[in-house]
Amino acid sequence: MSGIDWLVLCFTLLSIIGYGIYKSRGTKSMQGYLLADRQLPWYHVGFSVMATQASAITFLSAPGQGYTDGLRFVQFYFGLPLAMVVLCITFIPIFHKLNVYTAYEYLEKRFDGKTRLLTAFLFLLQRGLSTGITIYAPAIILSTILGIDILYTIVANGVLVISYTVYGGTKAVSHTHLLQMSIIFASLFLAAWLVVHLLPENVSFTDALHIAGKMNKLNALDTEFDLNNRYNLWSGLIGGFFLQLSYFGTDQSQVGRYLTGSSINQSRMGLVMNGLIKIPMQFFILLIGVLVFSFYQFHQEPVFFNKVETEKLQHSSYSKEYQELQSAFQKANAYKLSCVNELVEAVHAKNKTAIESTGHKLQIAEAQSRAVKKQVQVLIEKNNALADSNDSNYIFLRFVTEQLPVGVVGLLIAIIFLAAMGSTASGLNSLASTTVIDFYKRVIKKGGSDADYVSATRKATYAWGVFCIITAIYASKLGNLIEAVNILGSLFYGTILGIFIVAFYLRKVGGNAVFISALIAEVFVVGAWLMELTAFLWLNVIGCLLVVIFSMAFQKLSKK
Amino acid sequence: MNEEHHNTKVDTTWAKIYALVLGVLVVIIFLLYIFTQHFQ
Repeated sequence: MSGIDWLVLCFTLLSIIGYGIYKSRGTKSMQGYLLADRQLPWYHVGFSVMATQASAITFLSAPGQGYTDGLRFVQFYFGLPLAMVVLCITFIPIFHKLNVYTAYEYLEKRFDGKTRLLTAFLFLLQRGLSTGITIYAPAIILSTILGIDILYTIVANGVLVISYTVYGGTKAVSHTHLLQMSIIFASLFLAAWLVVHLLPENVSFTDALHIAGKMNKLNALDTEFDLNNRYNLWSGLIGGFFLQLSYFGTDQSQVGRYLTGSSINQSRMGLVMNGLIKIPMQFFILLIGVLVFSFYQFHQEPVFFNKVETEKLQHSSYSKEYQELQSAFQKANAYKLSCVNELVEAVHAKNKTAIESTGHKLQIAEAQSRAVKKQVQVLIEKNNALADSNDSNYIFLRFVTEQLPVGVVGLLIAIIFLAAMGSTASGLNSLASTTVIDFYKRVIKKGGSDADYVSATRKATYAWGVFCIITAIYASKLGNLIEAVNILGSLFYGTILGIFIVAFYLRKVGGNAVFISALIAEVFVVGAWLMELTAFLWLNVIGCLLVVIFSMAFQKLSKK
Repeated sequence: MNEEHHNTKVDTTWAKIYALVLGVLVVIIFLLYIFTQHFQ
């Protein structure tokens, strides 16, 4: 990175942090520190909710996923607008009326203390691990750019976010989210424009889409019902609905965001905004990855996008094999380039027969090229069993740093940091508030002062920060990060959502029935995942339905 | 009476907003279907 890029990066980050600190100065009460005094307007709520979900992983992994897997991941978000409607009708009015700090407080009012504690514990477990992964993601950037061990970048990133979150609390988090999302949106449009601008002169935006389409990258909709297919219309609508409902309705990192709304209607509007914008936004980010894929059809594509691993390979005993594979890759790509040029000519001539035949040739050429890449991955694993052999998280980063102009590189790196700071801050904030409100205040120190609890929340933020840093250190073995976070969420969200569904809609079911059902459902969900019985999105549906069905059955049995 | 009337009005407005959200979802899915078919 050039000096100007570093300047842009530092200026953007410091401005945002400074703005957050300025806006949150003088916050001393619990209501102020955890809920921003419940005074925020709908657009603050909307941007805050979006910034919490859109972590650095979104901007690192999603374009990589678009590059390798096409647009099909967009279907994952189909259930989100449906979930927003249900939340607006049911969850928001109840949480607002009960004046709760965390979603789990409601469960004690509805059931009993043990159900509240169990649900809060499941949340802490999954959110703690997920936040660790969100710290890891931007650490890859520094590690690759500075060429230093990822361990140091994880610790440095974690410490920066911890200190910022501890100082600012929810008020700072929500105010910075607004600014962060504005910069992120502007930068993404700039990035997309630049990718198209970097294509050869005779290749237009639609030509790039034709190339990607012929290589199965524009698979945005799959209507076939298949339980083992991760992303299709049905898993997105049904599984995605349950996952998003659970995430936004029962995950404190999100509940804490919309509880800051100044009224029920302001919170609702914030979620409606999220429901309308999320799918187009995700489509756009994946499309950037697809356009980067088209770009590399005309330029030398790296055989493996993680430079650190290929450099290790070059200096290993496998160096000769690696060089042979590299030249095989270049040959395969040269042939592919000729097919791509043929396709562009056919598209310009509107010759449908030629488009079909060159499209078929192109797919074969692409398969040959992928086969060589796969061999390089195997070689990397052979050379170092602990190596990160999945390079999808490095694709966008490598493209940005090598292809984009000075200044823009710094800006795009900054948005990845901003996104990381936004979601990690929300994560740490919710972990600390749940620890203090649902455990410390409920079990250890009842009737303490506001100052006691604010101080305890700050200490809890530190402690969770350390836990998340340790998790981040182990996160590099999880493959595609965005999927890892979603799989982790799916292991717990279904059960948690089931508890809330029973609480809201099955008024006759009591605490004991739902508590036992939740334990059984969780064991079943983890078992189903370990045995790979179904694609992960369906685990949300299974967990939720099991809690509901078992709760009703146990309640009936207990009456007899 | 006035409050009841106000509540009904608010509920109707929100029902329209929810219908809009669901309508936008249907339109997005339809457009993605066209998009996928066109570039396949």
